[in-house]
Formats: sequence, structure tokens, C-alpha cells
Amino acid sequence: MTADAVPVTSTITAILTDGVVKGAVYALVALGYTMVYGVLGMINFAHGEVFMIGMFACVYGIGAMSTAWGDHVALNLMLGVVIAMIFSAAYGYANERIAYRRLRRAHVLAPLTSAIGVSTFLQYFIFLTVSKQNVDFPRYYSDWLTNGHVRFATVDVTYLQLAIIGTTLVLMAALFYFINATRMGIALRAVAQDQLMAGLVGIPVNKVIAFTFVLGSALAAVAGVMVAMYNDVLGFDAGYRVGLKAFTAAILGGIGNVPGAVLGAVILGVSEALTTYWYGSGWSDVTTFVVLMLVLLLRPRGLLGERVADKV
Amino acid sequence: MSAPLLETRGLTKTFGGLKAVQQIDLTVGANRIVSVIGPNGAGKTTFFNCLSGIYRPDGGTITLAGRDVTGRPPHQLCRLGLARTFQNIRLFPEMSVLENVMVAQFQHRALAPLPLLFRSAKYCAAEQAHRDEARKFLEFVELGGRANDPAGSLAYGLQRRLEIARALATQPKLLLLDEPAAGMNPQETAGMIGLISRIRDRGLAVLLIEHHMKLVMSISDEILVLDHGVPIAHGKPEAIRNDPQVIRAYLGEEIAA
Repeated sequence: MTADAVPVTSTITAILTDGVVKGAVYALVALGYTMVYGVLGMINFAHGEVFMIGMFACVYGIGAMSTAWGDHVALNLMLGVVIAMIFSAAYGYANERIAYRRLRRAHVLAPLTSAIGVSTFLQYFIFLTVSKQNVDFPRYYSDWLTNGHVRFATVDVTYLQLAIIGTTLVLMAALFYFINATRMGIALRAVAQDQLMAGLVGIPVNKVIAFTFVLGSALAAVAGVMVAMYNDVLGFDAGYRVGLKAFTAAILGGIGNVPGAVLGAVILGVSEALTTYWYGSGWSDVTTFVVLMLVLLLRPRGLLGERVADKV
Repeated sequence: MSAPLLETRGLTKTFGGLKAVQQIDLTVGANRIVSVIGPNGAGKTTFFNCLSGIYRPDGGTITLAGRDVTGRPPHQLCRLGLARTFQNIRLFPEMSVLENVMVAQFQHRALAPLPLLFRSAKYCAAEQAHRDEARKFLEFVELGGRANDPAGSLAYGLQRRLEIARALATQPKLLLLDEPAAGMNPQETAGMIGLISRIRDRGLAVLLIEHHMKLVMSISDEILVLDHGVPIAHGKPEAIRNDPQVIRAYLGEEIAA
């Protein structure tokens, strides 16, 4: 079927699907921003780079495995995600330990500046030591997911799109359960609400904060792998762009608020996809930030910003 | 007799030029209720903040169960058996009443992210035991029926009780209570007297800051009086009640003279 033969309605649905998929990815990254903000009150600008490192870890991990024992697609992909999560978590942990922990009591601008420094450092660290050029995601691993599709009414949804939305939903549900119903989640909320008091009742505050970084980084790694497959390509600056969008999504939804981050991300993804469809991809970033400015003018604390109760 | 639970020797804390507390020597044994009283600004809360690791003392030593703990951070002191409440209640207001207590049990029930991931039967049983234990602390302070309410929605007096339940859940040997009866009516105060006695009956030592003289006189084993950061009297309630120096500190020079 050629593009001209596709009825307009189904094109719109396809655009919307693309938007939701992008939103799902932004959401996973936005959660890292919003959790760290909820717990420490700081913006971890290096979070996008942690996402990018996850991308590279997965691609190079798959490369190594394919040399070691051949191309077992499902196995290598799954292990690739695990490798990405481990690498990102390690970088996220080191990041907190080295660049933020000692600044926890400093003026709010100190950790922020440190984070911007770490972000730039990691980008060029990868640029210089790993790859100066964009790297292709091994098509052999993503083709079966991008070519296969399921037809819902008028729209074809690829396996990859389904997988991205499905994975995101599962991870969100798990995170929601974790924060609200487990003891570690209670400890996390306690540290977020009153760090001194949390220490006074015996919560190991440093461990809980480190765990927040590890968790957010692992989620970003999953998002990284999915984006790498979706776009087929990754580069040292991929984290900067996605990170900026995810950060915007977190602000849009109300920073520090978990459901808000998800809502903001989906709104952003869809508005981006629609702009690209109507005006071309050059305009998508313009819309992103126009939407952000409008929301902040009307609701300075973000869409769900006043429901402080859901702050992590 | 074994080492006392808490012992301070020459404890001093200054802010700039101001000596907030100076040279406090105090010994608290197990099963004792010791009160710290004095006019506003006498340094009582500063003394508590030094004991609980919020301030680092400038001089003197703090010994907890025979171990020198001077200058240790709060979570370590908590682990060694010290818990406290605050004059202006410091709960986690957005969490439920039960969660506020559960938060305080972590040091006795370790946080392990991996078992959580796999949700083993052992992990689930531990989680349940943890909740049951938290409920027992709530029942002890007579808050059993409010377990799922947000902590911030409780009436003032009940919030104080919850704060005590949370402190008890850290399983302390020594409990510091900072004005537990502040803002309470006579009936609530009587309830608080009963609660503090029951805490002592559990084998804990209680160190108490309180302005409510009826409460102080009725349950204290001994009383330490501070004025301008300096200990001016120390003894049994009857002795303190009639101490001319104490009366002078509270009422002013002329009246006492």
C-alpha cells in the first residue's frame, strides 16, 4: 500500500501512536529527574548522559556477545538490556557519590553546577573514548521488532512500539507499587519529606539516596535501549536531547511528582508528533517549549504540582 | 551496677559568643525518669540536640551504654539506642500513621533491594511481621484505630502520641521527650503521664523536657534545673520544689528575696 492510499484518519492515529511511544520513553527518563528532585531537591542534569551510556552499553554488549556465542537475538537482547541497566546504574551511583553527596548541604546552585559539569564530562568522555561518530543499532536485532506489526482497527502498531508502551507501563506500575507499598518505598518517602528526621529514626539516608540514583538510572537505561532500537542510531549527544525533553516533561507534570512526570511526558510526545506531522520535524522542539511555557504561565507548579502527597 | 545508660560530663555548646549549655553533668540509669526544666531559653532543647546528634558539642563527653558517642551522627545514635521526639512535632505528615511507625523499624529489619525484586516468601513474611509489629506500637499509644489515616490529619495530642510510637519503634533504651504535654488539656496531660509511666515500665529510661509542673513533679525520679545554660539544681522533685535558687530562676530576684 502506498502512502497516498492511506486514509487520513489512520495517518493521524499512526502519528498519535508515535507520539505516545515517544512519550513513554520520555516518561521513563523523566522519572529519574523527578525522583531525584523529590528526594534531594536538585535537578540532576547528568541524567540524560546516564541514559546515553545505557544505549552504548547495550550496543557494545550485544556486539561482544555476538562475537562470543553468536547472534541469539532474544537472549542477547535481554542480556543487552541487563548490561545497559548495570552500566547506567553504576554511572548514576558514582555520579551521586562523587559529584553530589559532598554538596548536599551546600547552596542549591552548587550541586546544579556540578551536575552540568558531569553532563558535559560524560558526553565528551564517551565521545573521546568510545565513539566520535553516531553508531547504528544492530539492525539484525531490531528488524523483527520494527517490521512485525499488529493491526488495531485502522492503525498498524509495530512490535517495537507495543514493546515500548508495554515495558513502560509495567515499569511504571512496578515503581508505583514500590514507592507506595514497600518498606524501601516508605524509607524513600521519609527521606524525601524530612531528611534529618529520617536519620533520627535510623534510616540509612545515604543508602536510600544512592538507591534512588541507581533505580532512576536503571529505568533510564531501559529507555535508552528502546530509543536506540526505535531510532536505529545513537551518539554521544543523544542523552542531552532526550534528557532535555524528559526534564521538560517532569517540569510540565510538576517536578517531584511521579504521575505528573508520566502525564507531562505523554503530552510532550504527542504534541511533538503532531507538530512534526503538520509543520515538519524542525518545529517539534518549538512546540515542546511553547507548551512548557504556556503550562508554566498558567500553572507555575506544573500540571499535578500541587498534589505534594505523591512526591517521592 | 553496670554502666549507666546515659552519662554526660562537662557537656558544653556555644553559638558564637553565647554559651547555650555549659558543663552539664548528668547520669541517667535504666528505668528512670529524669526531667530537665528551666525557664525559656535555658538551653534545654540545645542539650537535647547535642544528645541526639543534631549539634556537635564544643566540649565534654556523652556516653551511651558505656560507649563514648560524642559527636556521632543521629542515625548512629539511634542504632545505639537513643530516640527522641520534638517540641514542634516532626512527623512525616503525608504518610499514613502506620507508615510513620514502620519508617522507624528499618535498622532492626534491614532494607534489602534484591529480595524485594524477587518477592520471596521469606521476604513477604518479613514484610508482614514488620507491619504487625508497627501495629503493636500504635496500640501501645492507643492509636490502633487510626493506622491508615494520614499522620497530618490527627489532632495535635494524637500527633504527639504518634511521635512517641515512632520513637519507640526504633527500640531505644533511652527516650528523649521534648515537651510531650505542650498544648494539652488536663485530661490529655493525665493520659500523657500514664503513657510515660508505661514506657518506663517497659524498661526504658526517659529524659524529659517539660514546662508542665504537675506532670514533672508527679513522675520524675529526679530533676535537673537549667538556667542560662548552667545547671543550677539537681535532685528529687521535693528538693527541687523548695530550692531557693530554682524559685529565683523562675520568679525573678525580688520575689524570691
